[in-house]
Formats: sequence, C-alpha cells, structure tokens
Amino acid sequence: MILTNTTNYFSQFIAYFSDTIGWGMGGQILAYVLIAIVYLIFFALAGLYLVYLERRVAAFFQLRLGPNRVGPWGLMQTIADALKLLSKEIFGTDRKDKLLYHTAYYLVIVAALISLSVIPFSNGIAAYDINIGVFFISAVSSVGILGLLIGGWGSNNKYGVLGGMRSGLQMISYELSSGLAILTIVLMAGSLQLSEIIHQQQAGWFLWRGHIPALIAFVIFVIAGTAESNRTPFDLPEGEAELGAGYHTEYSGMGFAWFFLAEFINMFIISAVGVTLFLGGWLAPFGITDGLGMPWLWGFIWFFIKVGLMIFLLMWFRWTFPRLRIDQLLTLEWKYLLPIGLVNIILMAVLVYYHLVF
Amino acid sequence: MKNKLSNKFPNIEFAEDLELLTMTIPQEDYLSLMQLLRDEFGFDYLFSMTGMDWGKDLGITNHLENTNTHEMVVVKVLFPDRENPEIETLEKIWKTAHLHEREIFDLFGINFKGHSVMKRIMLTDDWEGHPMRKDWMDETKMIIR
Amino acid sequence: MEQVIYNSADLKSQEYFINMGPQHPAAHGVLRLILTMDGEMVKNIEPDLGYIHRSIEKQCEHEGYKQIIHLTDRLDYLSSHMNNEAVALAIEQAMQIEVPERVKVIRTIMGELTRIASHLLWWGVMGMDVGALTTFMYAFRDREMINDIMEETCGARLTMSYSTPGGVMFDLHPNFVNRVKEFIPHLRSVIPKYDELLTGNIIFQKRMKNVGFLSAQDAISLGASGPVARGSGVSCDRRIIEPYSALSKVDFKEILYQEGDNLARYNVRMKEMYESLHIIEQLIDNIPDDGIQAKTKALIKLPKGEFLQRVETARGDFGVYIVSDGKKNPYRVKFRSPGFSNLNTLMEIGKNQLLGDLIAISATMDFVIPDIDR
Repeated sequence: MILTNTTNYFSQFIAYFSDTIGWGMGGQILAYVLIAIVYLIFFALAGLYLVYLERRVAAFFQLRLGPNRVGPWGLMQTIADALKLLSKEIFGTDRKDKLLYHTAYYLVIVAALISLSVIPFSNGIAAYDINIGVFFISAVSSVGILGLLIGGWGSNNKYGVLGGMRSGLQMISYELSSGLAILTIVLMAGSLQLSEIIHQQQAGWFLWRGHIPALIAFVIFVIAGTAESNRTPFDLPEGEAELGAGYHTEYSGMGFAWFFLAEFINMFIISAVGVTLFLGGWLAPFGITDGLGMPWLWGFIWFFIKVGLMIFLLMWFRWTFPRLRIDQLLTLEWKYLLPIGLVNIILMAVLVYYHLVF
Repeated sequence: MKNKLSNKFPNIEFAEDLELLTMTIPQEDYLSLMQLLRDEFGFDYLFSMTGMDWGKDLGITNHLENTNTHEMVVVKVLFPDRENPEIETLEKIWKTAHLHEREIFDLFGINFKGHSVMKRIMLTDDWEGHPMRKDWMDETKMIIR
Repeated sequence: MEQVIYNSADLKSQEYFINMGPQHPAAHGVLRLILTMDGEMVKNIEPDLGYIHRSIEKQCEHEGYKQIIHLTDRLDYLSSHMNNEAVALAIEQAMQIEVPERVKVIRTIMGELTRIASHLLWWGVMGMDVGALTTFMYAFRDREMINDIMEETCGARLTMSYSTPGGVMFDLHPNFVNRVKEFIPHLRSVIPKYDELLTGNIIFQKRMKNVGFLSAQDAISLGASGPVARGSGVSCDRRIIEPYSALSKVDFKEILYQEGDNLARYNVRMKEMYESLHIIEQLIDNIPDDGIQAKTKALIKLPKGEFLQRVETARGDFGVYIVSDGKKNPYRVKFRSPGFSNLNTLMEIGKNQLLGDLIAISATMDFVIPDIDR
C-alpha cells in the first residue's frame, strides 16, 4: 500500500486506533473493518436517497409530486421500499445457473463500493488514497460489467442475455472514451492520485485551466459516464420497452435491489470522478470559504453540492431524452467519441508540452 | 362492368337489392375474379374479409375498394360443403389477406389453400370446433336470450 | 501449428425465439408477438392474438341493435365514440332515420375530441416506447381535460356509449361549450412544447427517420389505413371521402406525408390534432338546437339486407358490416378494425429490423389490442 504524505484522516485514525487497542495487526484490521462499516452504512443510505432524489426530480420534470407520503416530504419512502424488497420472496426460475446468478449482484455492488474507497470526499478524507486512484477506479468499475454479463447469462433468460450482452458491449466501448477523457486530465495533472489532482486544482479547476481540450474531455466524460451507468439515453441493457428489464429480468427481492442500488452508486461514482477531475473536487469555487475554519466540513459541503449538480444533470438527461438504438450507440462511440477523444488527448499533450494551459 | 364480368364468368350472380355492387361467384372462379378486379378494375384495397355462416352454406364476403375512385364492390363465395370448405388464398394478391384468412380459418373453419401459415390465431391450437358458426354451442360459456 | 482462418460467412449465429408479450411494457395491451431473432435482428414476426378475444361479433348476434353500441366501446376503447357512431350511422342508414342537425354536430365534436385524446395518449406511450419517459405524463395531463369534458356530458370517461340509433344519449352539459373553448387554445399552446421535448430531439429524429419504411403500394396491399397509410401518402381519410355527420359542413385538410417512415406517421398524428381542433372550432360556436333524438321505435328491427358503414377512427378505417334478416338481432355483424390490418403491416415492415426499431415501428402503428382481437 502506498500512501502519500499529505494528511489523511483515515490513515491517522487507523494508526491511532491500532496503537490504542494494541493488538498489532489485529487492531489495524479492526480499524479497516470499522471504516468499511461506516462506508457501507453511509452508502446504503446515500443509494437510497439517490433513488428518492431521482423520483423527486422525475416528478419535478413530469409535473407530479413524487413520493410525499412516508415521512416528511416522503423522505422515508425509499427506506420503506428497501424494507419491502428485503422481506420479499426471492422468486426466480429453477433453470438458472445458481453460482453465476447469485455471484452477479455481489460483483456489481462490491465493485461499486470498492471504487468509492478512493474518492476523496474532503481534504484528507479518502479511505484508500493510493497514487493510482484514477486507474484503480476504472479498473474496478470494469468488474461491475462482468456482474451484469454473468447476471444476464446466469439467469437463463433471453431478455437477460440480450440485456447482459448489450451492457457488456456498451460499457466496454464507453470505458475507452471515459478512460481517454480521464487521461486528458491526468496529462495536465501529471498524477493519477485523486487527492493530488485536487490539490493541483487550487490554482483553478482543470475544466478552466485546460480550456478547449478539457471542455471536450468533460463533455465526452459526461456522455461516456451516462453510458457506463446505464442510464437513458443509454439504458439499452435494461431498455424496458424492448427487453422487459434486461439483465435483471429474473431477479427479484434483494437481488434486484442490489442491481438497482449499484446503478445509483455508479452514478454517484461517475459524478464524483467527474467533479474530482474537472471541477476541483472538494475545493471551494474561488476559495470563497477558505478562511472560515473547519476546512474538512466545507470540503464535504462543496463536494456534495458539485456532485449533486452532476447527478442532477444525469437525471435531467434521463427524464428528457429518448433511448438510442444499439447501432447508433456503437456508431456514436466508435465513430465519434473515440476519435475525438484521441485527437483531444494529442491536443492536450501539445498544449501541456508548450505550457499553453493556464 | 357488370356485363364485362358476366361475359367472363358466366356463373356470376349479382344481387339486386343491395346498395353496393354485390356478386356471388362459384369457388372455382374466385381467385381469377379477384385478380381481375384488382388488375383491371383497380379494386386494389381489400377492405375486409368476413366469414359468414348462412345457415346452410358457409361463405366469405370480401369488401373491395378502389383507392382512386373509392367505389366498393362486394364479392361473395359460398361453400355448400360444411365439413371441408376449402378455397385458394388471396395472400398473393393482397398481403392483408394473411391475417384475415387466418381469422376466418380459426373462427369458421374455412381452409385456405396455399396460405403461408394456416394456423389458428385467436384461439388455442387445441380448440375444438369453430365458434363463429351458427351451430356452435357452448352451454357453459354462452348465454342466449 | 496449423493456422485456422475464419470466414465470417462460416460463423453462423443461431436463430432464437423471444416472446414479446402478452405482458410486455411496449405492447400496449396483451399482444403477443413471437419474434424469430438473429442476435438483435428480428427475422420474423408471428402474432398470437386472442388474449383479449371476447368474440364481440358473436355476442352481437345475440343482442338487440341498441345494445350492440355498448359492445363497440370495448373494441378500440380509445376511439370509442367513433365506434359508437359507426354503428349508429349504420343503423340509421339501414332504417333511413334522419337525425337532427344538433346530433350530427355533437357527434362530430365528440368524435374529434376523442381523436385528440387518442392521439395524445399515443404520443405519450410513443415517447415511452423510445425511452423518453416524461412524454407520458405531459400527454396524460392534457388528455385528462378531454376526459373531464366527456365525463360531464356522457357520464363516462372512456367507454362513452354516447351515440344511440337516431341521436345521442343525453344533451350537452351546460359547461361543455365553455370547457371545449378553454381546451382548444390550451392544446394549441402545448403541442409546440411537445415538439420541443420530443419531436425536435436529435436522438428521436435519428430513431424515426428512414426507419420502418412502408411504400404506398404496400400500404394499400397490406390494408393499412388511418395515419399509417397517410404517412405513406395514401389518401384514405373517410372524413373527406365520404363525410358523415357534420363533417361535410366543415373545412379541414387531410394530412398526407410521402416519406412512409416512422417520422411521417408520427407527424401525421401530430398534425391531425391541429386539424381536429380546427374542426371543433368551426362547430362549437353554433351548435344547432333541434333536439337530440330522432323518433325511433322502441325495438329496432333492421330491414333485410346488408349494410356497411365506414368511419375514420383515430386508428384508421373502421367498418361495421351488418347482415340483417329482419329480426331484432342482427344475423351477422363484422367489425373491420383498423388495428387488425395494421398489425399485418407491422408483420411485414418489422422484418429485418433491429429489436429497438421494431418497438418504434409498433409504437407508430398505435395498436389498441382489443381492437385487434375483438
């Protein structure tokens, strides 16, 4: 494990905790487990409230009220839904491939949760701040694709297979573009570590400093990110009008809920990575709250405001755009986004070499 | 037109008292009459095909329309043989006949020779009888006043 | 090591079947299509109907003529008023009843309102089928206004059974004229918003243009009617060819598009809503006042003979063919439903399309399944 020298509250906590408890390696592991539990609880709730937010935003776009009965402003609605899903009978076909069927949703949710560990939520708050953070995220989130693929395959359902194949096709394709968009920024930052990338943006967000190529990269990243999180206009894997429910057709109860939750956490990750790379992460815009004390709290607030805006953007897409067709999806990626991304990265390299970025 | 058709098909009968030009044609001339109506008289729109049970005979009533002049003709064909009524398909002349003929096959039991998929469409494959016939009875499902 | 060279022609993929329906989010009802697929490509479409087959034609043989009208609501429930009207007109034509002018005007206004409601619903689910979920809510908001108007006058929101042989069931509600007059400018103002949301969207345009091509020749051969045929440039609007009710008194255009693709069919319906508004506008201000019911006998017996009446419903050319033997029940009633023939059209043009395109095409066909099954 390679930790950087910058302050990391989590590593401090681990060191402090294991020293106090004094079990040597055991104390360290216990500290890790505690952090993991905090993350799990936090993201179970965050996932649920993203669902709530999605429903409220959808209602806002559709001239409705949305959930407003359970709890104040319907805040408890999704929690009630989760409880309902937990208590539901797991209902599925007999002819599934049991191992693949049940592995699938764990893969998806675990991949989503692991990616979260490297994201810096505030100054020095990232569970696992490694120097290859960006690379780690793209690597781990690819494992999620495998989950969708084997979930569709293992459930022995034609809609499932079609949906799984579509998701594999789509996510592998769009991973290239989002990878290139990320690389464009890495070229500027000269580091793969997320906290380092944010620190570099104290002089100005990369979206601003990288001007034209960064803007292009941002647009590509948002498009590819939408595609990777399987949301409209790229929701072909589960395109309900075509495939029923796509890869999770045969899942019910909690199995379905994991997929559903993972989708929302993925959306959060995409937004968080986008915010970290392009919009300065937890940095305050123009440093307006820098002198006010409690920097980690302000970091949190700014991070979540920015991520919230990104998520709102993705939701906006979902509730306005129609769905692409499978060949249009691939045309868009292989004929437009990928070449543009490649040219863009060369442009960025040239700009960085001649110090033409701000 | 009436004369032309009578010359060509001596066995054709025209109904007198109906609003639309209605003709009854023997089974063997059916296909050639329909082809002629489409190719020469421009009745290119098969509006509907209606299966009929005239009590004694089964029948088909075809409504044809000319899409340019919007005239209509009605062509009827009768089947005295209630057990194995059979006739040529119109599928090759009008593609729309495909579904109409399947419906008639299903509900009246008239078989269409040369039809591409002569299977039941409304009812299940193991259904017995043809419910739109007048002599079809189902004591449990039908209420007759 | 021996090198194996694969030729793409040797690599055959296996065809497989999938069932689209009977319960499927994109089939607006219980339509089951058995698709033969090669990967994402639809190779063959085989419909399996009958999931909502109630044999209404057979039921009609056992009902009196007045009762038949109530059964026709259940055919194409989205254009129930036009179906009612078709039967009423057929009976009036057979018995040579002259209905009052007021009835004619009311029927036409109601018919056009129903058509708008149907097209609105179609627009909503059309958007859903291509993945734009918001359209549904927008369309339903405005359709609700029509339903409210209907409810006030007819007492029902969907299956109105408002026309009777020789007239209409009730007189217009006092609010009717005002509410319709409020509705017309409202819809005029929202349809451009619909266009902004969906029609102009680049993704939507790409999904629609040059997809599901239907030539005029094929449209005629396949028995297509209504907006499906008019999207291919076939002039088939019964309202113009053979104006019934008060349609001869109004002036409106038949919307024709020559392209024959999805977008053409889409545009036909969108433009038709304006035309329907235009028709209502011309009639709403001076509804004549000469009664709502012609004198008919309590028990209607049609003279011996065969009667055909065609009307233009929201889906196309709806025909009622009544064979009467002079008794109080019809001898045979045939409902020629536009959806049945349009389904044949889908079977033809849906072949060799991607699955996503098939959904889009079937959306532009605007099926109502009870209309197909009857």
